[in-house]
Amino acid sequence: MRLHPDLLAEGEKIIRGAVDDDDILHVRSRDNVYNCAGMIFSARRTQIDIEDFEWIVEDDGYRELSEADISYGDLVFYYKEEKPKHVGVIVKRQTEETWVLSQWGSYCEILHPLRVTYEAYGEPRRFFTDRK
Amino acid sequence: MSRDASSPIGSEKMLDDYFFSVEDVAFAARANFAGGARAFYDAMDADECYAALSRRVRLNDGLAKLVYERVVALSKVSSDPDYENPLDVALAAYLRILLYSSPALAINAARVIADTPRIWWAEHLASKVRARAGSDILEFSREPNVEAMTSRQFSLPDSFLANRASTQLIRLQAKPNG
Repeated sequence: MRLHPDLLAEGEKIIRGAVDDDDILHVRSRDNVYNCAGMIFSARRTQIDIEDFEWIVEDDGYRELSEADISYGDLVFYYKEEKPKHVGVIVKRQTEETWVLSQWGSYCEILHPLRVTYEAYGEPRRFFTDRK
Repeated sequence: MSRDASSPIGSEKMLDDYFFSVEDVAFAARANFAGGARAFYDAMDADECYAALSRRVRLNDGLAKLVYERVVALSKVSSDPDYENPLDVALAAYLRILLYSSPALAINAARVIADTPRIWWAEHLASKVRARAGSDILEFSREPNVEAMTSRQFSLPDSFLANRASTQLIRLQAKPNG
């Protein structure tokens, strides 16, 4: 079921207001069936509560690593006030810039720099990989 | 003219302002950025009007009935069947306020919400309230640690989460489609 157009428009306004230069955000897809954790752990089929991520990454065989060791395909979890708020997947990792693909709430999937997100998501804090 | 919260008229005007804010699309839009139930409640708490309304209702039992009446009224508002109900977040907000102030009205509100079409957040909370109706959990809602009630106490027990096959059922609570 799609979001009401008024709600969608207001959400987009907030997203554009989240950054100084909205050209820095690239919308990949608009869907509200899944959320940020659902995009990653359920292959975009459903919503998964971000609060459940600790046991999911353990169950799925992920291991935590430092930011310095991340590579594309790894996961980044954003925290605010010591609580997990958001998760995305690293899609580009170079010396000076890291890009993340993540679903922003019920709105859309966005390609964004690692440290540019909606303010309520906080800061990138923990990183996980399933690389063998 | 300044509003006097102690006068009935001033109080009513103030309440209408709160109701307007909670039912406004901007409030719903911010809450819909949440990646989970706790983040959704955090987004509500960060809203000044929601927080103020919640505080006032907790301090004045008579106001809970007005909030309940808003739930009943909103549940009857018709909305476009092609989209999620735009009042979903407002219904969830009012139900949460009632949880903290009047458990009996919260249960009634949860039952009203059950018949409201195309909602997600409100039903997420309402289903838990209905499941708890009759137990003593809701009676604790006047205690200070209300966050614990809406998140941890509504969680399933660890023993249930221990089994991966069982947890799949919890993880795949798909939003209703189509």
